[in-house]
Amino acid sequence: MLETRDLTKVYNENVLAVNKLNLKVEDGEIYVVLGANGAGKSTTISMFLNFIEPTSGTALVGDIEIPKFPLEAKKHLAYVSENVELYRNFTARQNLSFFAKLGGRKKVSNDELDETLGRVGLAEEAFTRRVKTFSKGMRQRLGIAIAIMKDAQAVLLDEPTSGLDPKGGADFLNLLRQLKEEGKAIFMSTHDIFRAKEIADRIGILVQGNLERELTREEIQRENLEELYLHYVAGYEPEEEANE
Amino acid sequence: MIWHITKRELYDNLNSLRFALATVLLFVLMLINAVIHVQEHPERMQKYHDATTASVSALRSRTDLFSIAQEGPGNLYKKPSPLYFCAEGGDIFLPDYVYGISRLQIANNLRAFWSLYYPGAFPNVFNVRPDTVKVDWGFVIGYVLSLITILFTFDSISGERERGTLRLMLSNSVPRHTVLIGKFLGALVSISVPFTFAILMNLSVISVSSDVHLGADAWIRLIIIFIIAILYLCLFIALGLLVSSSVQNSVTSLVILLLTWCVFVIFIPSTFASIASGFSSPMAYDEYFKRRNQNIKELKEEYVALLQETRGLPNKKIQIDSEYLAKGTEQEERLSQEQLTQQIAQIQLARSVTRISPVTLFQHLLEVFVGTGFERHQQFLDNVQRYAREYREFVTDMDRADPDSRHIIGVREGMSQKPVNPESIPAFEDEISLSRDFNDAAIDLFLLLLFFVVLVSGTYLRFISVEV
Amino acid sequence: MLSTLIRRELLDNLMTFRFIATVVIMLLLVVANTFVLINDYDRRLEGYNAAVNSNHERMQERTTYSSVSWDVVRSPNLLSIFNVGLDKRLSNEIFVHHGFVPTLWDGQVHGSTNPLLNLFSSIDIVFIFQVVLSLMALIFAYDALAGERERGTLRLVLTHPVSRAKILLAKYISAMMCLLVPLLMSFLLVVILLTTSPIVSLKVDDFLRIGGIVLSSIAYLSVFYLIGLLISVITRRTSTALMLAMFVWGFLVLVYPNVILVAITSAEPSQERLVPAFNQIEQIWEEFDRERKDYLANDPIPGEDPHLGVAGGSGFNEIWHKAQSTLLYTYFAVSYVNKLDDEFEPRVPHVQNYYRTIEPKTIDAAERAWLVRKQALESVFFRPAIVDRIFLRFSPVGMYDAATQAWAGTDLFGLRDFYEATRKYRRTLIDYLYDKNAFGDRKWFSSDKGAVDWNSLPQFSFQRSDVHVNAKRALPDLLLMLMMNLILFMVIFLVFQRSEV
Repeated sequence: MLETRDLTKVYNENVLAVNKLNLKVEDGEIYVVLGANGAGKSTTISMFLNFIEPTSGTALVGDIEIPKFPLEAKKHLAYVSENVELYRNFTARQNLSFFAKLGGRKKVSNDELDETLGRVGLAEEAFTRRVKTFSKGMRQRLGIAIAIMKDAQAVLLDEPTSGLDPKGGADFLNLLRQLKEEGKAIFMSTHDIFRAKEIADRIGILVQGNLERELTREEIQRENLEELYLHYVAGYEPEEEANE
Repeated sequence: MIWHITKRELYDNLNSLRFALATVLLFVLMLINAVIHVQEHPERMQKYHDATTASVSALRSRTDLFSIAQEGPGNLYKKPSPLYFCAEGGDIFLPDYVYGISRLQIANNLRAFWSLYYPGAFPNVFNVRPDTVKVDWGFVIGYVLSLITILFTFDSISGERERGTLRLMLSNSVPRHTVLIGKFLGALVSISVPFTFAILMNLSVISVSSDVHLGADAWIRLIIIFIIAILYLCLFIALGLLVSSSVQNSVTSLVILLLTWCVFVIFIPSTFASIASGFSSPMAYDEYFKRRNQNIKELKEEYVALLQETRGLPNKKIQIDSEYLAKGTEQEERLSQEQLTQQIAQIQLARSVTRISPVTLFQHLLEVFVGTGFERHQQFLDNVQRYAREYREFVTDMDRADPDSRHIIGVREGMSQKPVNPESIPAFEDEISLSRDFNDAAIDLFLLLLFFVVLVSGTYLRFISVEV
Repeated sequence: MLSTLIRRELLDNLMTFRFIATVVIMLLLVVANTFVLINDYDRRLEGYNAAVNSNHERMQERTTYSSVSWDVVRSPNLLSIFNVGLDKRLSNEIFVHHGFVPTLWDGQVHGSTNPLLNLFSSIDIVFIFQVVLSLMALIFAYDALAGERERGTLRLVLTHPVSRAKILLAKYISAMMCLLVPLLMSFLLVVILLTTSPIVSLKVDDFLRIGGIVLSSIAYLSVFYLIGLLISVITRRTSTALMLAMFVWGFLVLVYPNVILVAITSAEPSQERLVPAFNQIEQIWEEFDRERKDYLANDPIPGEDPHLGVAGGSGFNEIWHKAQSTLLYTYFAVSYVNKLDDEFEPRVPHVQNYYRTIEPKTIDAAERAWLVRKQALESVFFRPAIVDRIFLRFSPVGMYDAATQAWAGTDLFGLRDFYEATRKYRRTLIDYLYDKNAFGDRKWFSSDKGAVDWNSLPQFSFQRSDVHVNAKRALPDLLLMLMMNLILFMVIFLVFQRSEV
């Protein structure tokens, strides 16, 4: 379970990135946050991961307060970024094994690594290739493999599907559904309305740091999401976030 | 088109951190160099002036030909260069004078004429302060500027390739050599601008100071030095571009360049010099003195033996005195000349071997045109030897001109007794000439150019065939 | 956890071109220079042996006590191969005489074949490390954090339950492990080359000293790695970090050590400060001379001639040495009469009496002059040298140099030990003379009744200081380096802890 309580981040004392955000992601639920560039999506994820300290308020995973016990909290968090960057001189297997050990695993067998790599749809010949030869889609797959391997309670995804080809995107969503079946709490940011509609249990629309609207599964099906999104975003010129 | 690329390079460089750091570094170093020169140079000139004045006045105080012939010209001093701040050239390890005095007593009342003797300089025997390199132009350009050049060029091609901008650039209808020349000029201008300003600042501080005077000759030399410095700079730019276009990523390029720099600039000059100087061992001072004592002993014995035969024959004795005096003098000078020749040969070999490093070539050139260092020392020794001949000719000429003289050089009674006009005695004046300097510099200049041409053509060939 | 991080870092570092290239270059440089240095040491050792022998021969030719003096020779220090320090530079031959207290400023250089060779700077092993190791450490460090941050892997790592301290520690440990490879390999090669060389014999103490040098090298390496890491943690981009690192390197290694000394040399020791001391010394000797003349005036055989008119097969020699620049002011009376005419025989007891009285006074005057001289020379020559070394320590290069010199025994203090030993030897010589009652002996000035037998003369031997003395001298600099390590690490930790990824 992921939760934020009045989570606020102010950059440079005057740029309000996230304003009193309150949201909750239950286990086995996919929560998608929609927003323009600079709406505060990445800042929220960064605060979940304690990359940055919140100005006020707090974020929780389960009942662990992340800013207070970051190391403990990170045991229960997995992360896939928009552009998964890995150690380029290492093979897929080496990278996966390294991060698995970082996640707290003592011993990881090659079989297990291969199984996970296979599960995310990497071809067998790619297991022992260096990551610097990988395409973006392959790296995203490897990123989700790392998240799967970690077997964390909550998974945070920061625009993971941008730049993927249609097949890759679809495969990716399938993997997400599998994770959901396993009962993980999934928090994903995107500005891809159609993918959001396809997969989300709930959708939050973030505009300039404020959570303007939250939609349930039924509302997602009922309402015209595209119009709604434009409605909230219209009138606000997308701005570059100062410190992202 | 070239100018277009150059402009972009310039813009890129001028806004960079390295440009700011390089500028500050060059200005600070050049300022320190100027301030120290302004402080030290008058002292150095004063010392030379005092020494030569004392030497000349001692010379002029003699009026009879015999004592002029016997005592000799005294110590002969090397004139310090007004451009000392450009290259110190290890001058403290080179003696700045040559003895021209009478040192040998053959018998109780027979003292040999003066001869040249070359002392060694041991400035460090009492010096317990740490070693340093003098902060002269040779250091600033040879070491610091070459390092800066590497830091400016290591990523100029590999960096663009990494970022993909090289593909973009070459997708236009630009010939590759244009790109290369543009990059070359861009680097050259962006380094030489702060360098030139630093030099101008340095020179203005020095020339404004009333104690230091730079003549027209000095300015010509400075211009030559500047041109050589730019050539040296170009060499390193070419090296940077060559490596940068040969490897895939910038870090590799930098590592190769830095290691090359370390090896060629820092290590090769000393290591090769040590190896080369091991090939020969000149006459040690112990041996010199042993041989000298042996020679003197033999000479004395011969002389004493002959003297027994001349008892009661004053004319014969004068002949023999004169003969042995000439022998003794010649023997003294031959031995010290032999030692000097061996020493110089050893140094010359070591210097030739170290020419494999461009920084050595540059420093040789700098020293030659500045008038310090080893080449200059050899010029000084030539001047001294020429003067010694002149001085001796003067004595024989004066003697020959006197009809009353018995023309037996070396014995008071045998020589002209006429007083000598002190003004007519030749005084030693150490001179340097630009044409001779060009002669000395020819090989180094040629090798530096050769280095440059090889690197530039290497870079060109490499870049033409490189895959982007 | 830590071991996982370390293993990854190691794999990443060891496979890189930069690692292999630097190792190869470093080993090449070290091997080439070790050969050159061993050769050089060999040549110096030959010179030393030749000087010892020729001095010994010269000594045997002396026939009277008054000519007792010994040219004491300093052997080259084997560990100067590592850091030459002042070993090759200062005088290595010094004149020891009862009427003269030897100092560093009175020595000579023996066996120098070509003083012009000083034109070429000499390289030692530590110099190679100074330049290459520091460069290598920075090249390893500059992108350690900036690079991971730029690529985004740092974020991914930090999503795992790893503390930042552990990441830092892992980076530090693994990089040091990598950097130690070339360092230790170089030392190993040098030691192998040394032990296989026939002219060199290493003792246990020498191994300990080399161990000290290794230790200092590690501390030095670590300082530079941490400087690089600091740069890496405060900069956002690797290219900026690289530039900054290279300029810092150029400044610390190349520019600072040379510029700072030139800048503070303008406060040259003024020779004028020596004038009052010289006057004082002059007074001491004039007083001595007055006493001497008084003695002669009161002697029943009148005259100012200290030999009381005694003459014979040559000769008597009285020498005054003066040099204001080094406050040298001495008096020698050397006699080596080998044939004394009978007419002078009655005067001989007077001469004996004269020397018996005067020589102790010479010793006394020499020692009083030495006290003045020591103080003045130290303030004029030593103090600036010490100040120089303090300023040099603002760069890690200076600390490293000082520490390794201290271990090798080629530092100022190590060299002073030698001059200390010569002074001690002078005392032994004086004791020997008193012991033999030499001053009042006929053999003091004349060998006509038989020459002096020198076999019982104590020989000079110079033992270099113990390892623990070396350690004590090296410790301040070693501690300074360790402290710098600690401070740097703490600063990096604090900055990294607060930095946003």
